[in-house]
Amino acid sequence: MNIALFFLSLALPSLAGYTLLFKEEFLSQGEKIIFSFTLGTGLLSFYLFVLGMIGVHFSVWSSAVFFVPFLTFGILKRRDIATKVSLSVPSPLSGLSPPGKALFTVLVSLILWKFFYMIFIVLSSPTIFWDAYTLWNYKAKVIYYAHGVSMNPADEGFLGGAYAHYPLNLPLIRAWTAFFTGEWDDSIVNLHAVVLFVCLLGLVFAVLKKEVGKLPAMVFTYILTGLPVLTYNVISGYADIAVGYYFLASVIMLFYWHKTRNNKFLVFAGMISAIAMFTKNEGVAIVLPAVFLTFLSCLFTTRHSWKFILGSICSFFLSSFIILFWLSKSGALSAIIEISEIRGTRFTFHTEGLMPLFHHLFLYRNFNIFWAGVILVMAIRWKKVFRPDARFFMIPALVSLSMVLYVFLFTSNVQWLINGTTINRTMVIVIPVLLVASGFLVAGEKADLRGSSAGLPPAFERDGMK
Amino acid sequence: MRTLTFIVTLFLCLPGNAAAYEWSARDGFAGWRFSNVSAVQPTEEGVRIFKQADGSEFSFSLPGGTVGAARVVNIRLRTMGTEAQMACVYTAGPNVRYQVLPIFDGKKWKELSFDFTGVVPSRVQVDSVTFVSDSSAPVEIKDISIHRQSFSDLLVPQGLRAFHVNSLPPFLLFGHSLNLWCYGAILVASICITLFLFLKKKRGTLFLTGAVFLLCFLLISVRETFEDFEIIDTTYRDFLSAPPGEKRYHYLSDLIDFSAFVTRTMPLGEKNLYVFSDDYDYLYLKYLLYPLRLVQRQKGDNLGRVNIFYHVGVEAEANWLMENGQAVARMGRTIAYTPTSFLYLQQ
Repeated sequence: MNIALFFLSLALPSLAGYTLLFKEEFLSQGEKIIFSFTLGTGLLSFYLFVLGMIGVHFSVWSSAVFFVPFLTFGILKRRDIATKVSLSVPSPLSGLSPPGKALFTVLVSLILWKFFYMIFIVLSSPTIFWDAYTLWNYKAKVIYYAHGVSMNPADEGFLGGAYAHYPLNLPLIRAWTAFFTGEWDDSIVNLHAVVLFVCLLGLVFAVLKKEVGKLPAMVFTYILTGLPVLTYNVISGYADIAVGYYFLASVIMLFYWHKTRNNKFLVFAGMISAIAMFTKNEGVAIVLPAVFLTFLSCLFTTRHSWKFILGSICSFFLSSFIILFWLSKSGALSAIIEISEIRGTRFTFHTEGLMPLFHHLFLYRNFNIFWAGVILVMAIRWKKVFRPDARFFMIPALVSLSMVLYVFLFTSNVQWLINGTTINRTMVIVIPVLLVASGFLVAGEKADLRGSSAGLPPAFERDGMK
Repeated sequence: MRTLTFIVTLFLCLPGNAAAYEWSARDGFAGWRFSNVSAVQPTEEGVRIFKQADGSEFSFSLPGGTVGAARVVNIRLRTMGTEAQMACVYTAGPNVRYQVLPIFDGKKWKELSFDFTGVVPSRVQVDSVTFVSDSSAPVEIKDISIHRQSFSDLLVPQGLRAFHVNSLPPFLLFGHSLNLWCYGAILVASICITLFLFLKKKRGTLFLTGAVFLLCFLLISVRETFEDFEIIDTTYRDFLSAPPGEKRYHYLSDLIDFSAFVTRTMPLGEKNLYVFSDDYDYLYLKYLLYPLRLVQRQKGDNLGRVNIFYHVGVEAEANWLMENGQAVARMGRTIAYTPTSFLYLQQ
């Protein structure tokens, strides 16, 4: 029963989020569901934070207020929504050759096994990982028992009761699910991370399917599942997988804005960036610069009027203004500046971090042989790295990777690289975007093969059509 | 195809599972040396070794001269002692090396693998192999084998990985990371593919090299999948089949049981607890027992009305608090989970 209530606690805000997206025909049905969940739960957690700011506790009535505008809109637009909802599911194996069907089936089976494994461990284990029981789940438990977020610095439960400068998106969603199910149950609450992981895989598959085809998209999705550090991040209740997910979702929305010039996607990109910043401070330090630089590169590499440019910049920042509620109340910004050591003269290249970095990325099991694969793809397809479409994901991937390497090789945080406690899970933030970028580099390979083997000129690549 | 399968099978068996040393319970202990051991008791599946009551660790050594130059030491064991470790001390000539691995407590047999390949020069004969453990409960041994490294070592599960969410050690193959072997395979295959396609004037390098990459990726990933299955199997046998009070996930399992004990037995209406424990235990208890208010205390600080003592060198004896055999307080009532983890209520 608790599991049913748990899924209902996430379904309700997802339905609210769906009312924002149902009209967007560019999105597939699967993408609409995933983005509905992203936006709905993210907006709900901001709402619950604002409730704390105005001193209102969680209750059925205060929570219901969040859903009223979406419910009203949904009722008014019920006929439109009904026409957009499609219940048909295409056959997953259609269009594949027999060897392709066999490989697809094997990969799906391996992915399903990973899910079974994650769900089993989450449901049968208590919270036993340090960051979860001292930070994320601890704050969620404090918020749940206090029925809200305390804004009183003198209160022991201030901003969750531990590490006040750490953001509250995950603790608020976990507290919400506990509040909805009526009790605090570690196993149920921790299922939220599994749901996020499902959404991450769904997004990777959906966006790559449009670019490289169904089978290659499944291969890339499987590669993501085959990285042990991701699986263990989900099981352990850490927040890095969530930031990686929101980062990818934000970049994809930006990409769709670039393709369709539909400003709604730009607004969604801004909102999801804000959710990423409300999830972990790396959202401010890594996600925001990467997404914003990508946005700027899109604005200034194609010709637009100044009115359009200014309007777009305003739209992006206005849509992410909700993060200001959090930044104004917490010491997050000063904590980020402190950790990044951008003040003072502590900028030093720590060469002693290079060998441990090499070991962690290439020789240990955390990433399988993922990094070698990325280098391989970039080396072979180096000409396409900064072509349109591929560039759209390469820029945020490389910017975020640079930020991570800066923190670990140019600041005193090199100690966490050498002892291996933080570098691997910080890379989890970058990996989904980097994987999708690699997928875009692969696009066009099969067309080239067909063209040259038949003696015809190589197929005209999508990139070149611009 | 059959030839290929045969060659692959042969390859996988080489240099063979031919063990330099194999021991199981029925072989007895001729030539073994024990230290700080009070008793050795045969059981249905192995032998149980009991530590001396006043010792912190015990050890047993295999007879010298029987191992040759084999470098991989595998031992299957189980214990109900929490936070236990097993060290393997490997002596070969002037080289003395050791490795320490955690033993996850529970009823399932755990296989520990100590690989000294590359750490000790090859061909140097082994003088002795000694196992040392600090387990608080008896350790039951099922079998021991010592052999040269082979591909089959990749199939030895490396156990529960609760500790390794941040950093997973590599699978080793002949002393090198399995990843490294895969890079070598991809590099060689890529060069061959590129040369072949160049000579044939065709394109498709990324596709074919990608296929080799995917194959290597799958190899490592499927190995992880077998390990995941082992973890589920272990979790099931240790947890679901254990009697109440002995459920085991992780080294924190005892704290989970203890916090449930505290919740059951502490006086109604009390909201504040004074906790005498180390920092890590305190933080976990703080999470488990929330919304109770826990206040951390050091040994020697004043007691509160309701106090928790958890492995801080203070024991409960009747209603006395004892430290190093000396009574330090008798003003309250003890509710003991174990002699070293208990509630102490001030009167």
